[in-house]
Amino acid sequence: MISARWYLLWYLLLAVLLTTVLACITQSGFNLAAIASLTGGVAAGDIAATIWFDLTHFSLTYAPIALVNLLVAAVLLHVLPLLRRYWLAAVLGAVLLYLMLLIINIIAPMPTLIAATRSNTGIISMLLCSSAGMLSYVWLLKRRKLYA
Amino acid sequence: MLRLAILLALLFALPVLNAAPSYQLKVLADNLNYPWALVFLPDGDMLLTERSGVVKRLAADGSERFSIKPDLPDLLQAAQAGLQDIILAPDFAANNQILLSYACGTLKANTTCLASAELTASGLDNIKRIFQAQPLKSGAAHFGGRIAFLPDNSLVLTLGDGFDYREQAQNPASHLGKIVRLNADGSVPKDNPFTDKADYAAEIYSLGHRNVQGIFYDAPSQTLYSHEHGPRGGDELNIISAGANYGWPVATKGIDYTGARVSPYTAFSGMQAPVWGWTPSIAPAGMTLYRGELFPQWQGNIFVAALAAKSVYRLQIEKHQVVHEQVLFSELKQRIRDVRSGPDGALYLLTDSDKGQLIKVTP
Repeated sequence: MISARWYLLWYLLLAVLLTTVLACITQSGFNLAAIASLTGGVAAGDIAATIWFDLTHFSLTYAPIALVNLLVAAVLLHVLPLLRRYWLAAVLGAVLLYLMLLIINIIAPMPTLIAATRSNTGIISMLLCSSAGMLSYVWLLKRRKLYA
Repeated sequence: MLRLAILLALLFALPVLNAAPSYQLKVLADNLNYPWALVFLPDGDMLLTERSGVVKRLAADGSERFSIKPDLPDLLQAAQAGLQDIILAPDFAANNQILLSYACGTLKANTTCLASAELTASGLDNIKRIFQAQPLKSGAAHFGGRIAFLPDNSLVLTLGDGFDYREQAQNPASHLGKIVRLNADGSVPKDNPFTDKADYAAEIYSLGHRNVQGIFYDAPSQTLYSHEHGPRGGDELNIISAGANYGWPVATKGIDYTGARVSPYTAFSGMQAPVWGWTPSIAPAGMTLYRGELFPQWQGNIFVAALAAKSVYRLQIEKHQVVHEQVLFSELKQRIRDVRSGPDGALYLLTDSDKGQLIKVTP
């Protein structure tokens, strides 16, 4: 019999995985779009290769960010039952990531660490990835009736 | 047996043939605050810049003649921003004119500026801003800032992409990520490559650069060399031709610091490939070509100062190709900001820290 605590951890890791994969694809999309605007287009094979590259490289940078982001959100959900609504969890994940990005860009030597977040559209896209992670987390918990 | 003996003799001789000449390192000046550039005056003195905005005049033995903070218009000092290069105008002997590059503006709206000034016995006089790169951008990163004079007395000034604005390196209307060519008074030479083209900034000499922080013109080979920082990997040594596109960010061997791929392409049609590269990055800073007499073995070699690699890279060039590379001065264990070939045949190094040093290399 697996205890509820292990389900919490397992679902959190699944949510982090989903967020990281979505963030990698988003990052690829923004860099590729920028290159396509300069070259007139990028071939499908180059798009696939870039996404795969980012899934195997950018993910190493992003997964710890997503883990901290969703872990803090999950802890807040645990102590504040009021937040256990889908839309509130989604907003919470996005707001926490936004704050993290602000802190990262203050600490990092370069103006903007994650290239996709150089534009408002890119920031919103990455925040949506975090929201998707939190939505999946709450859905998994509600499905197992760990949260009402 | 004879063949074996010759082979063995060659094997033993190879390290000797390839060995660097022995050298002495002498600290001429220390406690320098992030020194950035060095230039030699005809009388044997040196002018040295610090990123904080200070200009020092040093005697040949390193003793200080003056240390001033010239009133550079709108100097910005933050992170990579500050006073950068210094160079003597071609007619310095007649008018004591020098040129200084520096970051100007505010944290939210800044760029690279070029100023001219007159060197006096006690400092600088008649300081005038003669060029300001456009457009202004936010953030204190990637200003370029190296200057070199060409044989026709025009100058080239390197301009960074501003880090967050890398796609602008391909925008011909923007100065970001370009090398510009100007007259010594800041005006635009009429024979610049894009002066007749609509939607092109007339000052542009070459485009597609990330952050060029080393450039020199070699008169005997009539070649303009530059190097530039790649992101994570993809540092490049380039031979600059008027009007050429050097690829950034479309063609690069580097990736983002986060590990994300900047571009699917390492080469692209119509874009110049580098003549040499460094992956992982060495963070190339200053650069010089050695034409001195103290080290005959180094004659005609390029020396590249490296920040991240904490050393100097000696490149042997044949027919515009790098045929041999040697890492020097790594025993200093210091980030090297600039390397210059002195008129006395010595090599001069500037180390990059708040306790930076000026080091003279002699046999």
